[in-house]
Amino acid sequence: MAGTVIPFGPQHPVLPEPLQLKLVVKDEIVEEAVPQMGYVHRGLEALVKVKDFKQMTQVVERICGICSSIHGLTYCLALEELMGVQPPPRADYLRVAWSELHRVHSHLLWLGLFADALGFESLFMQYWRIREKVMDIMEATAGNRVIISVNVIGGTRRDIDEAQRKWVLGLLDEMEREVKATERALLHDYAVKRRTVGKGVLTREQAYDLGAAGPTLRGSGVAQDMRQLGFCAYKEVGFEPVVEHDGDSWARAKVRYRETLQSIELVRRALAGLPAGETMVKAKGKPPAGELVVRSEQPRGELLYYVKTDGSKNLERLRVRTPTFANVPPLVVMLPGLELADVPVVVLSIDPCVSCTER
Amino acid sequence: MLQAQTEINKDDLRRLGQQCKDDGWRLVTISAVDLGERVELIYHFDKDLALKHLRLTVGPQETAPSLSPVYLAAFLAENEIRDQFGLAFQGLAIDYQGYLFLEPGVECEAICHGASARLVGADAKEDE
Repeated sequence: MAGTVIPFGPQHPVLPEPLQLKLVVKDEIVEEAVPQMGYVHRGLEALVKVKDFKQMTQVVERICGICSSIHGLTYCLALEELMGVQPPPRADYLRVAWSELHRVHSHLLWLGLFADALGFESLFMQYWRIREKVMDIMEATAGNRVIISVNVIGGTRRDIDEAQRKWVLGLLDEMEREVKATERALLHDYAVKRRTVGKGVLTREQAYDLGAAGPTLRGSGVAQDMRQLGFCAYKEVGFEPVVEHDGDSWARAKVRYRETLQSIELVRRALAGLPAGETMVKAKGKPPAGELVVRSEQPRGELLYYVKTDGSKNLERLRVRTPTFANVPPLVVMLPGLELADVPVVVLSIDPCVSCTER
Repeated sequence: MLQAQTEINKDDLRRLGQQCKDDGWRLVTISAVDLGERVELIYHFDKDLALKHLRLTVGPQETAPSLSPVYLAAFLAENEIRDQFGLAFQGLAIDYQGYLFLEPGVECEAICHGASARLVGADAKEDE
């Protein structure tokens, strides 16, 4: 390789995740980028051999702390389909509420890190202060701030009572006002736009052909979101994907900002439409032999679970394809041609989650 | 059995992969399953939220053709399968030579054999 090789990561002040990129640089311009991983690989998929199918719910929740609940949800959806278990309607609405709260907290976390990467520390603190309200809701309704463990095969093991519901709706109104108050600073600031508009452009065709997912895909104009599949109560609460068309870092930031507000509204609708009844049915016996692919939408994009069972209490195979696993190859295409100083913000713009990627 | 799946052989993979790309299908990922002596590869494609799958079985001591000349993103999944299942791919766009997740010098067996990693030079600890 010609040029200078500069390792970006796995430790970098701006990079929140342990991902290394070997950048081949000539005159401050990136010519080539090769990702290096393996810093947090735990081999969680191999645990299917020692943990039974019920215990694996706790394992998959720990693939990632930021989108833990949606990992648990997707796994439970797969096992429910294999076992022919139909959760009660109340569980479907609760799952939507907790999943969208996870999306809100994840996007607020990212918006804060994004602001921090641009040197906008006060905006970073502002977003993380708003995010604390979501963590308070998680703690009050599920018992934990981060890994909430509400999803079980057959429904949810916690419920939201009427007093909590009203309290959460009040907090959602506050959060919405506070997030909207940051719009001008995030999306219309001259310095932010100079660092993000036209940087790390991924065209619509590239995003689709490279298998990008989530806001990385929707920021390039592809209106695809796995919530359109209508699992849980998404069909009932009504949902349309948030799309921008410029394909640059600014477009991806705008998608996440708008999705934060959309998710607040979806939580409102889910809580408003909560049907009465139980939150869980008992899933008896073991899953029959079979295989299945189930998809859902994490904050970072499409999540795929491939599950294969052989009729025993242990799964034969569990394959998890997380959205950052899909968004790392587009980085290989996005980074060449950029100035070295633009690399951190563009890498951050795909919202990397390496614990998800490596499992 | 998955819905909308087709069993294929190695020689057809790139041709069918190119056909999928030309028809507007997006490669979602590649799953690998240990079948004992053989490894099964399942290629998952998506178009307008619908899924379809190509299944390819590779025998012992065989290599599989890489799909990365057609779908560049395949290189990451194929390198991971190399690490975890010991299956080599021909024509990888970026080849980590079996060290995507692990450092050279770490001895381990592939995930499909179920053994734990054994660190070279450190206290060895075998799982039964």
